[in-house]
Amino acid sequence: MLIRMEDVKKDYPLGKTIVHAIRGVSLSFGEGEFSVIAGPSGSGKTTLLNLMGLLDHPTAGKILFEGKDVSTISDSEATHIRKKRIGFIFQTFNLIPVLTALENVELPLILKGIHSKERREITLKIMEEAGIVDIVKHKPDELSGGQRQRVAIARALVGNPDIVFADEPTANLDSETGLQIIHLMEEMNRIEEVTFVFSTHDRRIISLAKRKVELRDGKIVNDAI
Amino acid sequence: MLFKTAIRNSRKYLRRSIVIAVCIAVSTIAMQTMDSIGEGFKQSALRILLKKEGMILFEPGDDEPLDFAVHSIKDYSKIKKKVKEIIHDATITGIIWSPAMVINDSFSIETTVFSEDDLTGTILGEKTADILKSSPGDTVFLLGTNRYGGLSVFGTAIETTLTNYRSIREGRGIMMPISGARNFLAWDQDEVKRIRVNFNDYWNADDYVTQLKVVFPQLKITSWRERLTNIEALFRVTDIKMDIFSAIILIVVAGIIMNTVLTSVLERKKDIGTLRSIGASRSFVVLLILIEILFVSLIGALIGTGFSYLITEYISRTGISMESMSGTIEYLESTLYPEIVWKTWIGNIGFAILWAVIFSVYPVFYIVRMKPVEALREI
Repeated sequence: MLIRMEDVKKDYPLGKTIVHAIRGVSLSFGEGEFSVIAGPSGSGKTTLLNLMGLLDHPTAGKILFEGKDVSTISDSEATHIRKKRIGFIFQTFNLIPVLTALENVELPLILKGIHSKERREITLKIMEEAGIVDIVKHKPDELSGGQRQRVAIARALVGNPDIVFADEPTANLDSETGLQIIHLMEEMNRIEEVTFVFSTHDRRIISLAKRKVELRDGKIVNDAI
Repeated sequence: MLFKTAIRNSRKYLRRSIVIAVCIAVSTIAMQTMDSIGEGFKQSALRILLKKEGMILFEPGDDEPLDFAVHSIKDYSKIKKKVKEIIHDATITGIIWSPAMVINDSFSIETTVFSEDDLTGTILGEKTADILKSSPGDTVFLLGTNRYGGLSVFGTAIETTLTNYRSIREGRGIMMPISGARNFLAWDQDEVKRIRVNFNDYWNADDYVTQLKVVFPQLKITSWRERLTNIEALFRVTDIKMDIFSAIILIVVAGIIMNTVLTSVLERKKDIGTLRSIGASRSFVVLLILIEILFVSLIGALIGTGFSYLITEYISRTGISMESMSGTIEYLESTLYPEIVWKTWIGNIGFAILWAVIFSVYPVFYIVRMKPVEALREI
């Protein structure tokens, strides 16, 4: 298993009260999966993805990345794993506004310390696969929502990660573009053999996933292939 | 990429960059202008002080002749000629003991000046020359009684000549040209006890002393640096006064910079969270922001230096009048001219940039210490 969660809980303080965002989730994802975490707003989808993506620590339980317990690792260790093994796609695209599409995509390779010539080759290849090779010099504010999300997908994949977490990648897109983005992710999952775990509450998109994990009030209510 | 991103960020968040650049420009102007005025003051004070004390001083060696129970320097004229060969623009002044002082040893006046080269301030004015039946331009000496009742000799300045003349009319002294004073008091050139040498290039006094020591091994020759060891302390006081003014501005600037950088990084919280989530280390983010601060500060410091130069040049044309302070500070010329010391100015540029970086550290660390998930939150 690539990633496994064992009875993971996550609580947030909210003023004087505690919000139980994740209430004892046990879940695992293997290599090459194309899975969706579905559920209504506030069900804990984003929190779950953040925990699996090592952006946050669980309050209780264990998260194992390739068998290694990563639930209490240091910030620098988590950063290292994210850099080498994990890709992220966000609902609001989260592209760096001052960088061009090409520069945004090659950013993970810069962080990995890959030489500029090799970096440029890898970046252009992935941008071609994502169908955005014609917008390499455009800045994010010159791109449409669909193009921005394609850039974000290329950025998530350029570092050759083992797993990509996408938090509601279609939420800010119209339904047609949203479908195109999911199809692109599906294609990338097939070509690059990368595990994709994405969250959504869009029924049409849920149906495209091979595995559906349904979350409600911080608990898994359904996990079906 | 780091530099490119930092520079582009500074352009994107232009308003905040301008605030930081202006802050740094203001502090650079404050530091550099204050330094220039302070340097002008120091140079002015140094010139006056050294002229009085002598940039190089000759004193008798152990084998020099004894005269009036003290040593004196022989061959004054020969020494004068040799010194001029080494220091072409030298103004040489022989200092003798007043015979009057030796006769009446209760005198508090130690020495009087015996010099043909150093006549400024003792030139007789037209009106007074007429009263004294002398010629304008003659050097006059006042031979008067001092408060102990003995005789004393003073060089008189043109502006005080009339006052002195009144003293003479009241029977408290006589006034006479230098030749007359020399004959009257039976001065002799061999009675020179010290020789004071002044020149323009006083920073090289030590080098000249080395050369002069070779020519005059029998005499004790010292540079102002050897004798006025306390002068650095005097200047340090001036520096401290100027630094206090700059420090007030720097403290205000520090507050503005810290606040501006904090607002700026909070505005970019999401970008920083994104960078952290895709694997950027804390040090990468710190470096990215600090490069941006460095770049903006450098621009600000260079603009500030440009303005400092213009301000200093403008002040240098007219000078700063010190008439009102002339009675309170001993070594001060009537007009002060700021002087640029480029080495100090470059140091100020570096300091201003460092200041901006130091006060950006807290906001930068505040943001990078956030968990990526917190930084990614919209609010």
